[in-house]
Amino acid sequence: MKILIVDDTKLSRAMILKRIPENVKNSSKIFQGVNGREAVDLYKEIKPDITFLDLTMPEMDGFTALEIIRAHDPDAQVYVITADIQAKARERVLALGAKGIEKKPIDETRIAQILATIQ
Amino acid sequence: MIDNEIKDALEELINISYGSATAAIADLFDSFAQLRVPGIKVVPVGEVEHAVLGENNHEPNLYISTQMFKGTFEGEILFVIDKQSASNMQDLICLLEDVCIDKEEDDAEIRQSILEIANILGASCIGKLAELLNSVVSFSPPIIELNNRLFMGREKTGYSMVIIISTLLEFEKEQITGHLFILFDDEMFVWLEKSLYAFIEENT
Amino acid sequence: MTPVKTDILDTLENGVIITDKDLNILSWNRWLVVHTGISQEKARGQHLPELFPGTSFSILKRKIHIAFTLKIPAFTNASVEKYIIPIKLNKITKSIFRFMRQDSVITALDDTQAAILIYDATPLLEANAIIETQLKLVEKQARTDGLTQCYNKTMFNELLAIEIKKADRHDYTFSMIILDIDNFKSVNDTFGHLVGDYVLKEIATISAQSIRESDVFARWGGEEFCILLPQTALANAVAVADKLRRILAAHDFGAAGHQHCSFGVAEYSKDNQQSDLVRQADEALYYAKHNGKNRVAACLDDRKFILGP
Repeated sequence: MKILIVDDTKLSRAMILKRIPENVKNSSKIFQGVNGREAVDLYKEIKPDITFLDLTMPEMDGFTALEIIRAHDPDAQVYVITADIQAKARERVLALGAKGIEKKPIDETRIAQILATIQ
Repeated sequence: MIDNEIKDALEELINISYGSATAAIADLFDSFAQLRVPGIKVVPVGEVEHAVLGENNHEPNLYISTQMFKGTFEGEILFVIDKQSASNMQDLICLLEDVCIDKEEDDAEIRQSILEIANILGASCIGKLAELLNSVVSFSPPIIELNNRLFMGREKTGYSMVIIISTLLEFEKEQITGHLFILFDDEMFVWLEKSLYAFIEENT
Repeated sequence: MTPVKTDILDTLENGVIITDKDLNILSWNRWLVVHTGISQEKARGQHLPELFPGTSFSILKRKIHIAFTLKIPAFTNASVEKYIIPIKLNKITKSIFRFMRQDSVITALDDTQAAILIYDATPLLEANAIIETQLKLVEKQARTDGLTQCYNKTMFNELLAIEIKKADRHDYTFSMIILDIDNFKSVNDTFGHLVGDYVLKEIATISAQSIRESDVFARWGGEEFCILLPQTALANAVAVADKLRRILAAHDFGAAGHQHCSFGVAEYSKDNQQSDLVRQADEALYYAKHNGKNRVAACLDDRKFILGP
């Protein structure tokens, strides 16, 4: 499985990475990006099975990246992991076609559940 | 004085804390706020005023509220908002209340709203940050001035460097822009650094 | 072991009210009994707003809501919200406020109870009010001439600097007049200083009445006064000076009889320094004095003067 993790802070990417179950980690290729632009470019290049995407990022934010990715691939499996817990942010992300939106910091069981839906 | 790993971690924790603080306000206004990547700067005490007010230094119509927080983790929260944004914010709060006093006549209403928003934003943000770092803080009441000279006499306190974390409260549709600043002195930074390393250790 | 005292709230020199989410009073401490005259028994179970008809509790309701939903302390500020519980002050001397000014902190104790802490901020706010009044007085004194009560030279210079900036930015002109009482020394020598002071005061009053509201009149020092005329070209300023010259010359100064003044007028030209303008007006005044006094002279160009109408 190919997993794409996009977040502008290293800590946040590391926190997601740490919570991915070992067995999944061993059988997957994991790619990382630091802003929305990289999310779009990496997505087109590697076509991941699942993408974890942050919203608040420099250069291009997660809303825009999500929109471009979904236009490019209507089947894209994108989960937003964000600190933006506004009700309206949630509505917007789901309207843009995200599979789900999770509040930071995300816990292990939730990550495992999400990954299980892909496999 | 601030290495990249610490800066990165602080950015992320502020992002999380500020996210929940902003949501509290956005839900109150039933609106949507744009979140931005927080800025982190270390500046000498004498340059704090410029770093906070920037080019707005000559703008006489700025409201500035300040609030102290104390505990194992101590500092000061500043909320800076221009008169027009404050007035737009007041309109929103009026809608919530169904009672409105003519705001031209009574600037006290505007000050009241700013203090309220500043307290919600600041206390939620710092409260969440303290929680993430296993600390407990207590808040003093925010105070407000219509002023652009804040930092008189600051040098006397003996601090040399100040860490400034800045975030934006931005409601595009309602045309409200406010700036939240969290200031720590360099002594506090030692504690912060230790707690951040512990957090990184535990979570990655 | 002695049991822990639980009535400690009654020893506090500030108010403590415990309420539920809807502002029903569960308890209040002795401080509130003393200040409101409402006993603990009577307060308990009451809806707080009903105890104080006529007082709005909408702010307190919102603060309680914030304290419960966000789990953060909410505050009210004596200088902004003034007070939350109306407590009449019976102080007679030096009293400024009718009601006690209060700071307060509202904290959720758990999911059902909130504590409202009330602090008397009246002394601080009274002190602030006194300082503010005195500050205003000092500010007024700093820009006023003690004898004539018109602006002094410091204030005139500040206003002049502002006018120069405005003129440069909006590309318009303005002028200034300096006037000097002719032979004033002999007034003092002949009639004494009291009469001299009277003449100065009369000239200030008459001049201030004769100019436009947008013009600035100030005492330059001694027997010299000056006038700033925004958006006024030289010819018009000369007309204003000459009108004032005639009014003053016709005036009866009582014991001092008739007095007259000489006037120097100059118009601001771009890139002039503030000191250049003052010097030009001053030199024009000198020119008027040397050409018979009781006259108006204008500075046309640097060092070129002409006598008024």
